[in-house]
Amino acid sequence: MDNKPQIVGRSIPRVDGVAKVTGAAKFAIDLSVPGMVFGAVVRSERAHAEIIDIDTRSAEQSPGVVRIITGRDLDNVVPYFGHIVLDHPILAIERTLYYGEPIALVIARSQQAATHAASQVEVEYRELPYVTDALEALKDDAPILHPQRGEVVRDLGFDAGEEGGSGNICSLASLDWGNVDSGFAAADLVIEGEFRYPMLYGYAMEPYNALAVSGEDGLTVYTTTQHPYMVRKDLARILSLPFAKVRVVVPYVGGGYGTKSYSKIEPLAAVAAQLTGLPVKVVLGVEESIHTTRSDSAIVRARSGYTAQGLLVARAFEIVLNSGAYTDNSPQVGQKAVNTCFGPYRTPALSVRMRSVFTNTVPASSLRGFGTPQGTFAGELQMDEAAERLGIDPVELRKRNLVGPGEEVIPGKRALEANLPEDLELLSKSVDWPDPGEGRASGLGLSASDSGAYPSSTALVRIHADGSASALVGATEMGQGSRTVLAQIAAQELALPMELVTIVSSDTGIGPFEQTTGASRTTTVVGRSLQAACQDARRQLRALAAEVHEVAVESVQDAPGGVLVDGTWRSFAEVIQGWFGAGGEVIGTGAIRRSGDFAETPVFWEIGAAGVIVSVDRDTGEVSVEKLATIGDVGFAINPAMVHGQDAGAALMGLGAALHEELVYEGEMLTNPNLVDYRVPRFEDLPREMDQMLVERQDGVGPYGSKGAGEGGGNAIGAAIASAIARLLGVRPRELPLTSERVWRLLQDGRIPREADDDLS
Amino acid sequence: MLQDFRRDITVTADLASTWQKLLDVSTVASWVSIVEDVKEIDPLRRFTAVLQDRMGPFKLRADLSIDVLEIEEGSRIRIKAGGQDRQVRSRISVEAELSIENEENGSRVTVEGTYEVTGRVATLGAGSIRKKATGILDEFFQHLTQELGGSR
Amino acid sequence: MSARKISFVLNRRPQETEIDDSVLLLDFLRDRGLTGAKPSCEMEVCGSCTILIDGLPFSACTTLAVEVEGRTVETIEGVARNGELHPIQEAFVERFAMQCGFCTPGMVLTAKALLESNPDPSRDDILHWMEGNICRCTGYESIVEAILSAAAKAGTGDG
Repeated sequence: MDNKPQIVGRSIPRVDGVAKVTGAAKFAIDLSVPGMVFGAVVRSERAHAEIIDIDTRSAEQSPGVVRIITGRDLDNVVPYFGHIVLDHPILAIERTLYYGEPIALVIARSQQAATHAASQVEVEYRELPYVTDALEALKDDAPILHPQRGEVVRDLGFDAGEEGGSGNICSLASLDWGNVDSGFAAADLVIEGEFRYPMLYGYAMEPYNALAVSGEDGLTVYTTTQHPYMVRKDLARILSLPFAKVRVVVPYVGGGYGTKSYSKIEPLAAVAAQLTGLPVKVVLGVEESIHTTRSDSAIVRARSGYTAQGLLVARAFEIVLNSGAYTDNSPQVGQKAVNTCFGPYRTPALSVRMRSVFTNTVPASSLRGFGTPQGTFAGELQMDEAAERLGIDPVELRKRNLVGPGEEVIPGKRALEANLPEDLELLSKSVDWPDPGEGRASGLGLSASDSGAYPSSTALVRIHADGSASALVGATEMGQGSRTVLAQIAAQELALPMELVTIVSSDTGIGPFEQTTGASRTTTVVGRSLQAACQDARRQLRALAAEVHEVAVESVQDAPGGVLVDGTWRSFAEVIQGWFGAGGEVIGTGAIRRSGDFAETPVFWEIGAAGVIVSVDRDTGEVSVEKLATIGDVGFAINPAMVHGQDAGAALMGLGAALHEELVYEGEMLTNPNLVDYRVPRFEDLPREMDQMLVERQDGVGPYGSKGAGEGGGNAIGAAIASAIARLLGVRPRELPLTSERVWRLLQDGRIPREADDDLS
Repeated sequence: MLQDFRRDITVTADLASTWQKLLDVSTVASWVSIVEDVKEIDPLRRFTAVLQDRMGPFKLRADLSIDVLEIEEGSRIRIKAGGQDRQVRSRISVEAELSIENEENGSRVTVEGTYEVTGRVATLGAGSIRKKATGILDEFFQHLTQELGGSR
Repeated sequence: MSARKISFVLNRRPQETEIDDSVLLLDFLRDRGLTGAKPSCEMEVCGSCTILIDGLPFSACTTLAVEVEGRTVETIEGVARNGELHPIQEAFVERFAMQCGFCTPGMVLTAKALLESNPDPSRDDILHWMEGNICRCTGYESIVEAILSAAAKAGTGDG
């Protein structure tokens, strides 16, 4: 059958567009069930302490209170969750490890009643020494958060650092090849630097929330999560239920970006529902959400050696991540930082050491980019510095070292599919490299990130009796457009118009297993399993048609919305009803696992190529981004407009981290856990010109040669902006965000002060 | 966040008079403008007071307990004070040492120690809190010199 | 805690209801199934709870329900009429001016108020007027384009 793209490759309007502009689209936070009660969380007011007593007496007398749950009420459940290490307590048990940690849940008939009663709960603490800084936490005399680690539930081959005095090590990772010592010894230029990447809050605009209903047939939880099957796994373990009795339902997700990967408030809501026998809804405010998850901040020491011609001979990196109070996903974030810090360059000798460190701060978890922005910032800025010292144009320096298509970035892993030298060419043109004019400077950054997409995916396609189709997938829709892209693929494969295709998604009770939604994997991995399901459905339809018309199955051919039997077109509906006699249905299944095209990891390399043109007000230090360019090197864009949207969104997020965003700890607590003091980009931060370029070389393993998109755009922005500022002002920023104050200080003193100095009030 | 402070001043009153004045914990507490209603629970050992203040959008009211930790006759007093405002969900703790030394024309009083403010109020930032603390110290020394005779 | 009767117009329909003084407009609306206005920042900075009162954008999360006495209130649910999308809504869909959709109701309402007050805004006008609405997904550019497109269409004779 002629498979020339007709539906894929076109910017078809989002299937959820109308629902979203009319307010009809429902998010978990919008849902309610009859008889629902409300939970309010009591939170720790110490960074590290033993919990001596929780006095709930006056709270219990508060009007409308149904029940109060503390860590002492968790004897009949497995009170921990975590997808790598089972160390995250549902409620603090005997000890609290960070300011803001959930200590108790007050359940009442209304949200107001619950919140009011929660403020009456009195907690008595015995304070312990605490540590919020990662380097301090590594010292011998630092207080130890986890004298005993929880059980490792997912063996990723990660090193929990038990050997050699772990202390506050959450995980270790390293990467080595060649001999860096002799490399540096032979180099004509060796440069070193220390770089800092801030602690960020993803700010998904829908805060964390969950509605749990416990009944005879099991547990149902409506929640805003990216990975319903991973939440299901945690809940099943906690309540000792089989998967078949745990249903996680995810409507539209109001923003994810990695911050809604893995369980957050669902375990607490589920336990509350079970203990009370009532449906329990727990909705967190934004300040509470900030105290639930943030990203790993990083200190990266980088060392790079070059020949006089600018060829890399060796690179060495030491990365320290501040990973907060619990393991969560930091081992994987750290591994990603290790794999990407040295950039997509031919590196004859490499040594990378990563330590992810526990501190008494909000637990860190995934955030868009996932270790890549942290490492790329250091690696790319060092390339720029080398270029300056060697007297070579930074773009030229990169060209001399870039890995070409089909070459390995990391020995033994999938070779790089992309053509980075061409991408670099496009990018530098877009930002008027090298000279964009008076008072302005260009900067650019490159990264190739080994996607964390794990190939484990199933899909179903139901061809209904009237020939319309429903595709059932486990992917969630968090704005990235999964429902639209997958509908396009199904429509393409079955050659049906979009109007006859629906997507049913993210309900573990109805749809099939999907490992996760994130790591830019849905188009590539779920797309392929859905393609397989469609092909399976078509195979069955051909067989049914052959039977009905009594011909050899080999003589039946696929056709748009039907089959060809002896040259005559028969619709899906005709075939199905013909076979069943009345009604009927054909169900196609598809699965992807780690084999065949997906045997090699990473599943694909996600390219991050970003360039900027900036100007700076020297009196105030304010940075204006005049132009922001990104390259979406996506193999094939199923929906080009949506890829643009993802790249633009990722770029603005990267811009936020580069110029404005940072969570600040002072003493035991955060000083800016709100949307005023934590500044995310707004309309007026929009660069004057945005250029989201699309590069399609059909070089991916996804459907029609596609690869992942949605993270790359932001991975290199920090480096690009810092690089442009360096070119413009002649100062070398080594940390983000480059707020006006910091740029101003760089101009005055050539450095950014580390601690809050006395004159800064 | 734990902050420290240290300040000294020379007063015209002699060592003995200064010492007598400093032993009067209730009066000394009254030199701290934001502390009121000082009550003696256990003579020279335990006191209570009320801290009332306004900082940014926060109106603070905390019951303070003040403990005298050490007295070195004629020379040093070490105290500890702490309290919390449940409404505003904030805590304050202070440890301070007042010491006096003989001077040619009077005596020198030194106040040094640490303080920490945590909870909601602390979100105003270390800078604002320090400013406030500096103001309180200013007023403390103003009252002290008024009572004991100002010098330079 | 005292209750009082208020009357106001909600999405072109007169309402009379008894409401407690302390109830926030956002909760009042959402409890009645009008979940288009969303809670997010809780402090009037993100715009996801935007509704129009007498045609101007307000944050429902910091407005008391009793404050709408005698006023006209419009939520996102009242924008499309008889199943037909408002030109702004159409422009948003055409220009992919939404991704997760959580900020979208607020964006549409604020944009609607903008075009009613200034039918031919410049790009700078738009950036300034929309500053009170945050979006974390789109990077804003597509929203600006949607508003410019809706304005242009209206200008060419539709309204």
